[in-house]
Amino acid sequence: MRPGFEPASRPLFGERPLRLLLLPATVLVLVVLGAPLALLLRISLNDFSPATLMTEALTLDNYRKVLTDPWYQETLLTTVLVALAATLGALVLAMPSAWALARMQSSRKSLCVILTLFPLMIGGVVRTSGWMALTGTDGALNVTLLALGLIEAPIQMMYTRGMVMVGLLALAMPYMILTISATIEAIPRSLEEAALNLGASPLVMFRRVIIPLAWPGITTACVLVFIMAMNAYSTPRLLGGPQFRMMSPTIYEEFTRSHNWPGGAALAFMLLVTTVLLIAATSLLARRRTRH
Amino acid sequence: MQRRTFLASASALIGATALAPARPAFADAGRIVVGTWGGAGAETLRNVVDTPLAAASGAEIIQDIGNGEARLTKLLVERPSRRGTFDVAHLSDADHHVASKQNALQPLDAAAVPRSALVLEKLRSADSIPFVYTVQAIVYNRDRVSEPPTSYADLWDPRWQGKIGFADQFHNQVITAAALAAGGSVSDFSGAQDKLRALKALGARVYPSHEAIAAALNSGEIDVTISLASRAVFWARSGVPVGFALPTEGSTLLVYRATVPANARNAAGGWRYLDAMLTPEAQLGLAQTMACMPVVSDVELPAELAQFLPISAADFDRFLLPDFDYLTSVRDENLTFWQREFRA
Repeated sequence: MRPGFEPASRPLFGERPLRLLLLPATVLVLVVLGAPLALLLRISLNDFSPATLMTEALTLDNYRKVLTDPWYQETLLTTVLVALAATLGALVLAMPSAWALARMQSSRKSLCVILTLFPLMIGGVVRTSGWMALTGTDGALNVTLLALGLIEAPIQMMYTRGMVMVGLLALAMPYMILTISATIEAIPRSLEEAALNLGASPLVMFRRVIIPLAWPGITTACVLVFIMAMNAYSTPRLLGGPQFRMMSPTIYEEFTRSHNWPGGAALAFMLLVTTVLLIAATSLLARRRTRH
Repeated sequence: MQRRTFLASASALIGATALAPARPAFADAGRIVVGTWGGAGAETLRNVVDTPLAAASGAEIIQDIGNGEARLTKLLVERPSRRGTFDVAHLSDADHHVASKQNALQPLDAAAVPRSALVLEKLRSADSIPFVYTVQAIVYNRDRVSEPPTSYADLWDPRWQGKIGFADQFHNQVITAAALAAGGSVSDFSGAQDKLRALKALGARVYPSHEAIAAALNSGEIDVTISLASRAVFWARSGVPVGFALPTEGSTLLVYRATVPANARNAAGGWRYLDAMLTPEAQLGLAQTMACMPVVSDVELPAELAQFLPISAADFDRFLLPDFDYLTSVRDENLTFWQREFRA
């Protein structure tokens, strides 16, 4: 740079100290995430033997087995479809609340934020148990409907696909609402007013002003919820029943019931890679949309 | 290389400090670490074994509470290490079989566990003591079932159409029952799958947990299941109207065992602990809390249990011990059938 042409504001630090700041988090991730994953990857290449549990090998057989077995393919497909449906469902349901929450100015706003956060303060298994107590054959809902004479026999709600979806949506809503509402809050209200002033209907304003500007927040929330749904364990296990198959319960069974650690590890990697690929594809699409 | 050796070297490689011994080697003499299950059982152990033993011997007894799977994994992973976590590890008989096969346990020192001489012959093993046992049986809703089934084969009667259900975790036991009903044995499951296909055609269902089975029995969703005597007692205690029948084909035993790991730091303390588990007071306390049967010949069953589970000496003779080697050899086939066909 020529003398006298200093940049208007110089960074406080050079690149090097900034990189050093990344060190603690990087080390932590490498130790607590990278190392177990590396171990899991190594296990997935071993041979499974029912008698000795596992013999050391370098084979792709476990991957071949899980990739070619229609039973595992179906399980993965169900997982992806359920996760997509839960993500889209939660997005549609969360958008109005997120907008309302972002634009709320009264003192009730903090109360609403706490109420939105409330489900997260209870553990996943406890929350799912609550659903079971509510929707079981002799659960609160059936008992009430029977007492009111609205139904003659209990409705089978538990152990259905619909119930898994309800459970996942309930789990996803707080993340979706809070992430998107934080993004919408950063959009100046004057932009909305300008669009309305220039003759846009509220719906057009929402579609052409709010959604494009909130897009990064929307994609972040969707990615978060999608990952959560792909890896859901207690919801499909407890609400879907043994007949309903998603990947996480299947992986757990592979480890603990079949004692097949190599097979379970291969399944875990299949889930990880599928999730990463789908998120990468979505991010690519989202980035393209942002550029437009 | 087996799983334990592989995992041990791998964990050393990544410096998994969580697996490393947490206590210094010198502090062992007076300390006994007992790996056991949590809940009311652990509380009873504290009252009827830990406290009296601590008072008598001055040992400090520490319960390391966790589930059975975690304890077995820890035993196997730590196998190559000279100093393990546990001085005593409580295991189900199936987990005991795995640990024993992997040489993770010490042979029973009968001289150091004098009360082991009183253990019922059928329940003895070379590297453990039993501490309570229960049996697999038919459990039914006694308010709705006036004529209880007496054999596993009875469960194929069309009167149970849509009224029979099993807990998912109980697949090995249900397959064993089906094999016995088909004329097989604990070492021959060849007729089991066809039998279970027929039962599925009668509307048999699979529930995700034992608690879900209790709820289904209580609500009338199902009338009959195959479960454990101890579980039936728990359900009855909590107000579910259940009755219990020992099938004529023979009930399979489930034995809870106490072991001293091969790499226990305080094996002498471990054996003392095992002996203390076999005293009449400990046996009665454990039987009462776990709704199980005592394992020594000089203890009578508590009255409540004797009333609910009238098990005679002749019944005990007919009880079957699972063939764990056979179960291991058919484990994959059984689970695949259960997951992909029976419960699907």
